Amino acid sequence: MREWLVDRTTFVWLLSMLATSLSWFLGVNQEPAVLNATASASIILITFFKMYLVMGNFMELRGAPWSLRILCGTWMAVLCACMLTLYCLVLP
Amino acid sequence: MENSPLSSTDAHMPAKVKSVAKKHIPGEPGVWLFLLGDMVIFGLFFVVFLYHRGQDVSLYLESQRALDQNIGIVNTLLLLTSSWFVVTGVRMARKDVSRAGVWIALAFGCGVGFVINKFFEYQAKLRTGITLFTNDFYMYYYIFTGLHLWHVILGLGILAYMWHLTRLKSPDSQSIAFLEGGASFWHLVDVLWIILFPLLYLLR
Amino acid sequence: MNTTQMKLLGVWSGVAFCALWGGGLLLTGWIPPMPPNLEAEAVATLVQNRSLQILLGVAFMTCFAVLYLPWTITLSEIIRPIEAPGRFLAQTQVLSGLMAQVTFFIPPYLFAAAAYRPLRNPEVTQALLDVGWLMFITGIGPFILQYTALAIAIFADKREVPAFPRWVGYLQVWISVSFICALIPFFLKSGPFSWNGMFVWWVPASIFAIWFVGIIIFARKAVLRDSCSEFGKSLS
Repeated sequence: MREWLVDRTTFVWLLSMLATSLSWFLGVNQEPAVLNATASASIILITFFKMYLVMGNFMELRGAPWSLRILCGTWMAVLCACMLTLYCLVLP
Repeated sequence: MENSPLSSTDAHMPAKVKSVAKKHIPGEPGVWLFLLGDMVIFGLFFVVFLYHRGQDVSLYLESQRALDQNIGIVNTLLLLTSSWFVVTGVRMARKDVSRAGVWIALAFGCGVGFVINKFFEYQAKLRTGITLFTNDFYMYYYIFTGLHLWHVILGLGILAYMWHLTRLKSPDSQSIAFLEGGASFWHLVDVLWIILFPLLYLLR
Repeated sequence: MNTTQMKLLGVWSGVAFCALWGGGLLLTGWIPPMPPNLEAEAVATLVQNRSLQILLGVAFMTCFAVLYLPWTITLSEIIRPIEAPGRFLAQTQVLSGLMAQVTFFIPPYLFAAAAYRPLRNPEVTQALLDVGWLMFITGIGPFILQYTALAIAIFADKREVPAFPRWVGYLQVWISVSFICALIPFFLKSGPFSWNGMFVWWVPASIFAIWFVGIIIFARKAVLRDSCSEFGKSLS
C-alpha cells in the first residue's frame, strides 16, 4: 500500500489542497463587496497553478504527445491571460 | 504489464525506462476531442462572465456576498480528493485491477458528496428567494454551477461503469482505454470547478 | 437504381437541406434571431417592415425542411450493418431524426402566421413568434437522441473498416452533451443564454454547421466504401 501512496500524484494532491486552502484564506479574509486586486490576482494565479498540477499529473499530460500538451497549455495560458486582463480592467 | 512504459505517473520506474517511455494519450484520442471542446466552451463562459462583471462590478460584488464560501471550499476539496482517488485507481488498474475498484468507489462517494452539498446550497439560496431571475450574477451562478453539476452527474455514471470494468478479471486494452478516458473526464470536471469556485465565490 | 445511388441521394439531400432550408432562414433576416426582450409593439413593427421577406423565407423553409429526412435515412442505412440483424439503433436514429425535422418544419409556420397579417394585435404577433422561436431553439431533445444513437452505433462498430472513425463518435457525444444549454432560453429573455444569445445561438449554430459539413463528407465516404465492399462480395 505504501508504494501506491508515496507517489508524485499524492504530493500533487496535498499541494493542491494546500493551494486551495490558501485561496480560500485569501478569499474569506477580505472586506465583502470591495475590490481587492492583490488578493484576487493571487487567487487567479493560484487557480492556474492548481490547474497546471492537476492537468499535468492527474490528467497525465506530462507523458502525453507534444500536440496535446500544446493544445492544453495554450488553452490554460490564453484563459489565464484573458481572466487576469478582464479582472484588471475593472480596477480603478 | 509490470514494467509497462506507458504508466507515466509511476515514480518507481527505473530512470532509463522513463526517459525512453512512449508518449501516451490517456484514453482514446477521441476523448480529448470531447474534453477540449468542453474546455473551450467553459473557457468562453468564464471570459463572458468576467466581461459582464466589468460592466456592473458593484452588482456582482454585492450579490456575491450571499454565496456560501464554506460549502464551496468543501466541494473543491472533495473534487480534488476524488481526482486523487481516481488517479490512484487507474494506476492500480494498470498493474493489479482487482484492487482498483475500491479507489473508484471512493471517488464516486466524493462525487455524491458534491451533489448532496450542491442540493443543500441551492435549497438555501432558493429559500431566501434568490433564483436564476434575480439578477445577472445569479443567472451566471445558477447556469454555470448547474451545467457543471450536469457534468458531475455524467461523471458519476462514467465512474460507475469504470468501477464495473475493474471487476473484470483481465480487462482488455479497450477497457483500460475507457478507464483512462473516463478518469480524464473526471479530472476535467475537477479542473472546471477549480476555476469556477474562485471565479464566483472568492474573486473580489 | 441500386442501393448505393439511393444512399448517395440521401447524402445530397442533406446538402440540399443545408442550402435550401438554410437559405430560407437567411432570407427571413433572422440570422441571428430577433431578441426575445423586445416589446410587443417593436416586434409588430419589425414584422410589418419585413413581412414579404419573412414569408418568402418561410416558403423555402417549410418546403425544404423535409430534405433532412432522406439524409437521416442514409445515416441509418450506414449504421444498420453494424447491428444487423437488429435494427434498434438505426430505427431510433431515423425516428428521432424525424422528430428533429419537426423543429425545422413547424416553427416557420408560426413565423408565417405572424407575417401573414402584420397589422393584427401586436401581442398576438409576439405570442406567435414566441412559440416559433422557443420551439425552434429549445427543441433539442430529438437531436440529442439522434446523435446519441449514432454515437452508440459508431462505438459498437467492431468491423475492420468501421463506418465512421471512433473520434466522430466522441464528437457526437460532445455535441449531445453541450446541446443541453439549448433548454436555458425557456427561462431568460436576455443575455448570452437567451434564444439569440452567444451560447444558445452562435456557438451551437456554428458547431452544428461545421459538424454537418463534416458528417456529410464522412457519410459519403462510408456509402462509397460500402458499395465497393458489396461489389467485392458479389464477385467472390
